[in-house]
Amino acid sequence: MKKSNTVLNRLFRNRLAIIGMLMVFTVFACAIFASFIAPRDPNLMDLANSLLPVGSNQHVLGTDEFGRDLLSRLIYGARISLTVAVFAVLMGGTIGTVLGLTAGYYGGKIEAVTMRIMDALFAFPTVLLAITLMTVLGQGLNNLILAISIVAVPGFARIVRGETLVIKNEEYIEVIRSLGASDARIVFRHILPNCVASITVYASMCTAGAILSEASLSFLGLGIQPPTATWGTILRGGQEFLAVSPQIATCSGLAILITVLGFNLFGDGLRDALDPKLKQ
Amino acid sequence: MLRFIVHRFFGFISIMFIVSIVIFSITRMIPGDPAAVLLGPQATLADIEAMRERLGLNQPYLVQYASFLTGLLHGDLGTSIYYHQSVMSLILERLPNTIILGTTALAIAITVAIPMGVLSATKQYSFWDYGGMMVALIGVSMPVFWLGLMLVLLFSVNLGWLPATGMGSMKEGLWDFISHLILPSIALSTIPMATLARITRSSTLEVIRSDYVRTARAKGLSETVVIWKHAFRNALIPLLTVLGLQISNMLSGAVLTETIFSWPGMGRLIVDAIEKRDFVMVQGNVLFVVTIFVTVNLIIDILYAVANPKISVKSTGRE
Repeated sequence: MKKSNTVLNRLFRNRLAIIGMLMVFTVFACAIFASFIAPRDPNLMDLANSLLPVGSNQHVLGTDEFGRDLLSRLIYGARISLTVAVFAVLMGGTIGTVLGLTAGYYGGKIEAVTMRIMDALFAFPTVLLAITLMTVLGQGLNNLILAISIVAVPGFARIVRGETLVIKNEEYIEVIRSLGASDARIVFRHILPNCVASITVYASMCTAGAILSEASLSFLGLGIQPPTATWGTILRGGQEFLAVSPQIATCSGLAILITVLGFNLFGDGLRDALDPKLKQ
Repeated sequence: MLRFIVHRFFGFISIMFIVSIVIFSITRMIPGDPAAVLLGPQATLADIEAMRERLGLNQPYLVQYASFLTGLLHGDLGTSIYYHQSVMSLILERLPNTIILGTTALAIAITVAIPMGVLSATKQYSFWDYGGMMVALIGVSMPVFWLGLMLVLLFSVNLGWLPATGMGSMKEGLWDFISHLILPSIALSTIPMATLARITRSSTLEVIRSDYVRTARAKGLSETVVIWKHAFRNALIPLLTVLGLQISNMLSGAVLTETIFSWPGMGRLIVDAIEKRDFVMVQGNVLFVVTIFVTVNLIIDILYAVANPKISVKSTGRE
C-alpha cells in the first residue's frame, strides 16, 4: 500500500504525466459521451453544404465532401479508435501475458518454442504484419482488433517472461512452493501481481501504437470502411481535398497525434514513477 | 567470438524458418480459391482445376510447404497474380528506389538526432533538454502519413517550392531528383530521428557520469573533447542496436510514405498488391522485408559483439 502511494505521488508530481493523463481523459470522455457532445449526426449528409471551411455557420470545423460535420465525425471517431486500441491491447496483452508467464515459469522446451515464435513475430515490421493479417482476414472492426492484438502479443510475452524469470527465483516463491502451492496458484497469485507494473507501462505505450496502427490500416483502406467515422478514414478522405479543405486532414491527424502523445506522456511518467532511476 | 556468430546464425535460421511457416499458413487462410482468383471470373471449372493442379494446390499442406520452402531457398517468391511476373524480379525492380528513400531518411535522422540527444544530455534539465525531448516525443507520436500530407500542404500546395508526388530523374537534372526526394525522406525520417534522439540522450547521460569521463575532465581536456572524443564514442554502442530496430520502423513507414508521395518503391508495390488482391505479391514482399530486417539485425548483433566482446561471452553462456 505504501509502495503504491509512493508511485502515485511520484506520478502526480510529474507535470508531463499529468498533461498526458488529461489528454487521454479528454479523448475517453469524447468517446464515451460522443452522442451528447457531438453537435450533429456524424453520418448526416448535406451536399448543399459540402467542404465548408473552418468557422462556418453551425459547423465549427467545417464539413467534408458529403457535407457531414467534421467536428462530430472527429468526436465519434474517437469512439472507434479507442475501442479498437483498448480491445486489441487487452486481447494481445492477455495472450502475451499468459504466454510469457508459461514460458518464464516452466522454462525448457516450452520456453524455447514459445519465445522462438515470439521472436519470429517480432521480426515482422508492425504495420506490415497488420497489413498481411488484414489482407487475409478482410475488413471490419472485429478483424481489425484481432490483427492489431496479434501484433501486440510478442511484446507482452517478452516483458512478462523476463519479469517471471527474475521473480520465480525469489526466496518467497520457494517458500510458497515448499508449502505445497500449485503452479497455477504460484503463477497467478504471486508472480502475475508483481508483473502488473511493467505490463501497465507497456500497455499504455502499446495503446498508443495500436491507435497509430488502426489509423494506418484505415488510411490504407484496410480497416474500418466509410461511412463509419474513424480518424484514419477521415484522413484518407481529406487527402483528396487537401488543397480545398485542408482542415479535414489537419484536424483528424491532430486528433491522432494528441491521443498518441497523451498515452506516451502517461506511459513515460508511469515508467519513471515505478523506477525513478530510469528517469535519468 | 566464432561461437557467438554461429550461435546467432542458428538463431537467424530458426527465426526465418518460423517466419516462413507463419507466412505460408497466413496465405493458406485466405478466403477463396487462389486458382479462381488467378484466372478471374471468366474461368471455367476445368480451367480452375487445371490451375490448381499446376500450382500444386491439390497436394497435402506439408508437400505444398516443402515446395514453397524449396522455392524460397532458390530465391523464388512465386508469380504475381496481377502482373504475371516473378515477384522477385518486381521487388528487385523497386528495391533501389526504397533504398534511396530509406538511406536518405536514415542519414537525415542520424544527422539531426545525435547532436540533439547529446545537447539534451550535456544540458540536462535545461530549455534545450526539455524542448528537444518534447520534440522527440511528438515525433514518435506523429502518424507518418499525416506528417507527409502536412508537408505536401505546406511546401507543395501553399508555397509551391517542392513537388508533391513522384520520383525525380537524374536525366532531368540533379535538382529534379533531389526536390522529389526531400519531402518523403523528411516524413520517413521523423520516427527514427525521435527514437534515436531519446536513446542518444539516455546513453550519453549514462556515460558522462562515469569515472573515466570525470578523469578526462580532471586532466583539463576541453568539454568538446571530453564529450565527443571520450563520452560519445562509448554512448554510440547502444545506438547500434536501436538503429537495427529503426530499420523495421523505416520499412513500415515506407509503405505509408511511398503511398502518400506516390514513390515507386517496395512499399507502394505492397499497397498496390493489396488493392489488387495479389496475395502472392503481398506474401513475397513481406517475406523479403522480414528477411532484410532479420539479416540487418544479425549483422548489428555481430558488430555489437565486436565492439563489446563481453556481449558474446554473456550470450553464449561462457562466463
